[in-house]
Amino acid sequence: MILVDALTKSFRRDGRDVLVLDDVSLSVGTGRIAGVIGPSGAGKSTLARCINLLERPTSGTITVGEQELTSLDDRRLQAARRSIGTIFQSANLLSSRTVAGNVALPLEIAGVPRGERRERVAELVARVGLEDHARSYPAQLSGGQRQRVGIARALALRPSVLLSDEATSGLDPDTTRSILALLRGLRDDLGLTILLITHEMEVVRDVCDQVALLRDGRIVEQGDVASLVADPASALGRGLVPARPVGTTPTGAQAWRVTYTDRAVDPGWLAGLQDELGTRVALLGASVEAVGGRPSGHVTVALDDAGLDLAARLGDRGLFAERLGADDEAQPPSAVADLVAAPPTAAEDPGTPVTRPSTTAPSATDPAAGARTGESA
Amino acid sequence: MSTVLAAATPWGEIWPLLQPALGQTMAMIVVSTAITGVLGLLLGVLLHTTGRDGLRPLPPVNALLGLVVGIGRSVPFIVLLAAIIPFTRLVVGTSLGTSAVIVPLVVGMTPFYARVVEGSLREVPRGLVEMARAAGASRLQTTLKVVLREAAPGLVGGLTITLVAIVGFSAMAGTVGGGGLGALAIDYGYNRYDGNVMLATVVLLVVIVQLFQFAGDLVVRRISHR
Ligand SMILES: Nc1ncnc2c1ncn2[C@@H]1O[C@H](COP(=O)(O)OP(=O)(O)OP(=O)(O)O)[C@@H](O)[C@H]1O
Ligand SMILES: [Mg+2]
Repeated sequence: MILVDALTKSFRRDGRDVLVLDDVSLSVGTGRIAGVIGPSGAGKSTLARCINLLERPTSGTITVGEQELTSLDDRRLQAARRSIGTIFQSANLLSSRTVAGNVALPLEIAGVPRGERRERVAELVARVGLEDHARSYPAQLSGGQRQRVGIARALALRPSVLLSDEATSGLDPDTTRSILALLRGLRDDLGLTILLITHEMEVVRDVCDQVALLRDGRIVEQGDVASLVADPASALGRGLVPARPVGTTPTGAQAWRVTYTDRAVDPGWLAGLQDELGTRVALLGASVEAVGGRPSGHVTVALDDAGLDLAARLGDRGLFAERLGADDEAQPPSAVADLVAAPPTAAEDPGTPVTRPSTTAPSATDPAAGARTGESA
Repeated sequence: MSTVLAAATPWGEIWPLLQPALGQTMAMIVVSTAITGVLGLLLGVLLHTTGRDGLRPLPPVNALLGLVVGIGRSVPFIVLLAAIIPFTRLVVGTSLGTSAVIVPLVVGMTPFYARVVEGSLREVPRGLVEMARAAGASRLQTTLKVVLREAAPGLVGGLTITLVAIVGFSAMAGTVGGGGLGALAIDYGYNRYDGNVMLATVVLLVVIVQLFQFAGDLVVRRISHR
């Protein structure tokens, strides 16, 4: 368990104090994976460094397991840190030691006897899939392999908590996926509590149970990943399953944006709806991802019958529907069949409204703009 | 050449002349380097540890150590040799002979090696120190298991440089009663125009330096895995 309470941290820079963390509170239950996401300079690394007290908090408390770390003296803190495994972005391996030697370091520090040490190292090296590289030096490893060594080392003293600061930054998508799968496996098998610092939304979506968005040293939003994604009003939720460009709404039809608000939505709801209405439901776009093994996200559909209240029909299926743009007449005429996908906007930020080319009127239907109005209401 | 250097010792008689001098020189080099290595390492670690980015920043202590090292490095060796004669007498009981030369060699070279050590330790990435601290290592454990071990190639390389410098200074010290190859070269080669002895000592010194340099490089290559 990790409990961060009212944490502030300021650094002295050029003769004045700069507040880097401002009243940050965070709680991660045992066996949970929590993500901390935020732009560069938000204070993510500082938060991680405060949790293992590499950086002393200016105020506030840090509790890991049963221990309140901020009140401990040097010696007790050293002991307490042994129950916190830390994984670093650059792996921080000793170039002078082999893979096995690097993994053995925390065991040596803790004074584990040689025989036991050797056994444990072999077990850990196997756990991260590096049996064939136990005698290699870090210089001979790939980035992903180095990261695995770092993970094995972090696990050496059987910590209850794992801190990971950008452990997958700079790795290719496949390697990232395998590292994340490894972390999730560790949580499932060992009941580890994991704090994952990252700037990649996919990482949060794929492995985290909960997430906090840090900006300028403050937590702007936090919660369970599944419920944030299910909340049509959550900016963080939309960032986790970003809106993608959707097709143009056909003439005379009504576009709806449907958000999965329930974990137990029937995956066949679209076909069911179509059968029930007896009319074609056109799929204009979908951003549906598995979050916690369940489909989540949102889809945009168009119904020929503009008068139909989709919200009422879908409410009891765990789906939230909102009407998009009132100016369907402004759209160029086209049949449901020949929908064209809008070109994706360049350098699209997750969560920013999708803009589509408006051919005739400035007020052309814009699902994202509609969603924006929808949520401000 | 042979007209000027008329009194050249015949080549057959040179070895008996060189042998004791070689022994004295080797003793001076090895013992001075060993003691300088230990003291310089300690001083260098203290300089680094108490420095601004060290494991235990102590600005006053660091400033004092820096001052001592600075003074040690700015006094020319030949002056130091004479200036610390009372101290030398106190330590080894005499100001003459091979053991008496070791004292100024150590005093002169320790500040030099200390700075080399400090520089090598500073090269160790901060991330490694953080990693060790995060794993629950004490400052001492961090220094021994991480900082010194990672800096080892630089420390050995620096010690080789120090040793080569000591070879040079030991020849100088020889002129003030320390014996060794330097004294031989001055006595025979310079004062008596004995070209053969001069040549033999020079060749021997070159060989010694090359051997130690080779050995040092070999060790560095062995322990470096970057
Ligand atoms: N030791 C320090 N002294 C002074 N300022 C610091 C120190 N460490 C961090 N900062 C400042 O704190 C702010 C947050 O830094 P931090 O490294 O926590 O950001 P981050 O969210 O991890 O960013 P990134 O995604 O780029 O890693 C930055 O403005 C940084 O300059
Ligand atoms: Mg960072």
